[in-house]
Amino acid sequence: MLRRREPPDPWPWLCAVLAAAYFAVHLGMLGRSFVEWGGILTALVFGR
Amino acid sequence: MLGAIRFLALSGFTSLAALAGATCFDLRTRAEQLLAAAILWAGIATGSALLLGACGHLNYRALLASQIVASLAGLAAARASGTLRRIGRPFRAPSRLGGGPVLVVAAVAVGGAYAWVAFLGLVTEPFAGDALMYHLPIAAAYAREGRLAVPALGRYWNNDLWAYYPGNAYLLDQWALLPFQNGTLADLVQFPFALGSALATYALARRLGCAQKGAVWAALLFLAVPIVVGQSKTALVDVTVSFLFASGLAFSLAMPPDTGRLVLLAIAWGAAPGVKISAAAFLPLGLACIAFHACSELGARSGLRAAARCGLAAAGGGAVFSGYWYVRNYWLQGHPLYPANIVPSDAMAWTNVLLYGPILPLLDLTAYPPIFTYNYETGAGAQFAALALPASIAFSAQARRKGQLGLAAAALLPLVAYAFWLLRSSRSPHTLFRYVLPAMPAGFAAAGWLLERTTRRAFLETIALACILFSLINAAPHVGTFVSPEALRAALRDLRRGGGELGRFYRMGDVSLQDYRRTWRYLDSVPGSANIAASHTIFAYPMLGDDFRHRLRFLRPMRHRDWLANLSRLGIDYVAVAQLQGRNTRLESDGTRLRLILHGRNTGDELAVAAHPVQAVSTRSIRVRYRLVPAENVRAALGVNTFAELFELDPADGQEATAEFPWSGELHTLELLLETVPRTRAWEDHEISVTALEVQDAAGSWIGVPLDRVGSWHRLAWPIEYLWLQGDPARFSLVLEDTDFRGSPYSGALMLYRVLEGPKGAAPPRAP
Repeated sequence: MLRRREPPDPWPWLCAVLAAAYFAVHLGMLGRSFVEWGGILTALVFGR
Repeated sequence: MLGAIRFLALSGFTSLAALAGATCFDLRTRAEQLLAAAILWAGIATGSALLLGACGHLNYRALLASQIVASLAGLAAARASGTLRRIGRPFRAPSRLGGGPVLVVAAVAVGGAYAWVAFLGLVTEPFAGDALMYHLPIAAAYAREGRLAVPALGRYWNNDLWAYYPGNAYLLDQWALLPFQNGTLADLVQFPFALGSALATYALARRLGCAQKGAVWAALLFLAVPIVVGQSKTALVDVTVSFLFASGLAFSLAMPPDTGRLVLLAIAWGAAPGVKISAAAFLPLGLACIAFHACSELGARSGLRAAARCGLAAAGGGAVFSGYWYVRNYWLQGHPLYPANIVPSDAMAWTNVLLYGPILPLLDLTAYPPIFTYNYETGAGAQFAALALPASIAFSAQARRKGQLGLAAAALLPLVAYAFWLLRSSRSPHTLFRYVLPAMPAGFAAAGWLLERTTRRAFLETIALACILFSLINAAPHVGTFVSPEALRAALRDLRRGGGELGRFYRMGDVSLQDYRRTWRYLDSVPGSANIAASHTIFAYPMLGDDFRHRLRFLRPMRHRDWLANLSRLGIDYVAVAQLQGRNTRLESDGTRLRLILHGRNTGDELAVAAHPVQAVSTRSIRVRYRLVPAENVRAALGVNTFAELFELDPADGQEATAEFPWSGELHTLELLLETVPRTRAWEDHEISVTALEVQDAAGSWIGVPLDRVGSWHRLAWPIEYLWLQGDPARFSLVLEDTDFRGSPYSGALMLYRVLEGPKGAAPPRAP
């Protein structure tokens, strides 16, 4: 039986490439935020 | 507690009026009915506060009475139309969405982030420069005066044009200010409009053909935009504009427009130009979408007629809800668009447009410099670059193939708005995306559509979740804390230990503003209403006291004798001036060596100077040029932020020298050492100016510029024009109390002087 071939859908790949580019540009900031969240949670839970 | 009850009563009656009124409209879905109620809420609130304010009766009692009348009218209208039983329809439990775990994780993350924002809004104080400088002072002036006053402000970016901005947002702010008679909720005034914008995004997505699931994705993507997260705890106006424009668009894309939709459009788009002048730029774009849509749905003749009706509705709404501000400014200043008509437009920065323009959504100007993450005016988020923009193109192409020209145009709004504002604000790319914000719901609606239509749905949903999490993780930690997570940690630590009280302007913000904060706390404790004179840039809002009882006046720089006469004539109790010279301040000298102490940030391997009038400086090194020019009575001061390392300059022989310094790429407090050569006179007798490179064809504040784009030299704002105020405080015979505040990145140290011969009798407490 012949299976209907789905048309190519380039949009998810374009979105993935753009997202990856954005993350790459901002990766240093993400690291900072995790550190900040760590400090915030520590301050909230342990008060120090 | 009483304030909370008053708040709930006022908001409750307005909500009742809006919910009852919304039942009278023939609307397809519960979401549309809720969105209609939100628009009516804004319309009832704006209209009633505008009327009361224009009559000089903008106080809590009158406002509450007007809302009771409005709610009775809404209930009567709903009863007369037989729709009253539908009042609870928007709140019925929704049908099962079937979103799957990825959507659930996204929803929980967004919900958690907004719970955090609400928490911060309740326990911390406002700390956005724009809000403290003019948004909140104007709203506070309405609350204090009971009328639509044009308040005196501290000088911000060297002008006070901000006092004439249209005030619809500040009328809406009264729902948060008047019940408490203070700023307890001042920072959360945009929070409900963020939720309203998300609802409008949902409705737009449904209008573009999304099922519920795609529409929920669209709303979540919008809520996770870092600017929206940041402004939900900031008393600015961009999210409010976004709500009004997007909700009007959602209703106007239903053809043919019935009377109810025209009314909703009139309220939403009519009120928008009264919130922000630039909102008017979106209305022609929106009307063009409506015209395309009407023509493609109804044919050319009927379509143009329908579009004309929409245009007339928007114009009529504009006259009712926004006309007051433009007539007032024409009356007071001779031009309806004042102050927009007198602000010179910047020359186009083609490097930004052509070189950086295509990649700005990716750069997002949030990683520059590294210490500067998202705040209330930066951060469109990964979801804008990676989902909204491509989805806009994808949807638009598909809609065009189907002949749905209006929907195709609406989906392209984010791209069109981005291009428009890039050209309009090419020298301010760091603040660009908040201007694009009103068009973003259309882009995220298209993203919701793409998420449903793609053949790789799970893959794209994962990308959407990653974008949302990335934005939230970056945006939420320091919402409202400006640039200092350390201050936030310290505040939370104290809160957890129960050791500190949640003092006004005590906990949040940049730690280098501690001295400002001391001043504000001092003013909070001053009994009675004081007149405070400022002579240069200061944060105006905290000067007003916790219940806005103090009045701020701006005294122009003038001769010393006139200045003293004005103090007496205006009944000034306190004078707040910058103290930029002297012991332990930013400038020190032993007579031959001059030391400047500056604060700043870097951009990695580039150097940025953000100062008026210099738009940007970015090279691999900083060039500091100094001149020694004889001038009388001039002490040195530098009221700008700049960035550099420790340099020691041995100037060339002569009156003028230029040197180029290396830049290490580290964050520093700058200590710039200028050493005069023995043959020149002592520095006290000279004007000393620092100049910096201005790049002619590039850059706002924080983006790199190729060296060959460097244009002219410009002097920084130093010395400031009224520098004589920086002289020996002992010269002011009226001044007694030198509290020696110092240390602000905005305008140097703040010194608060008490005027002894002022007319007010009560002696204030001693400054801390």
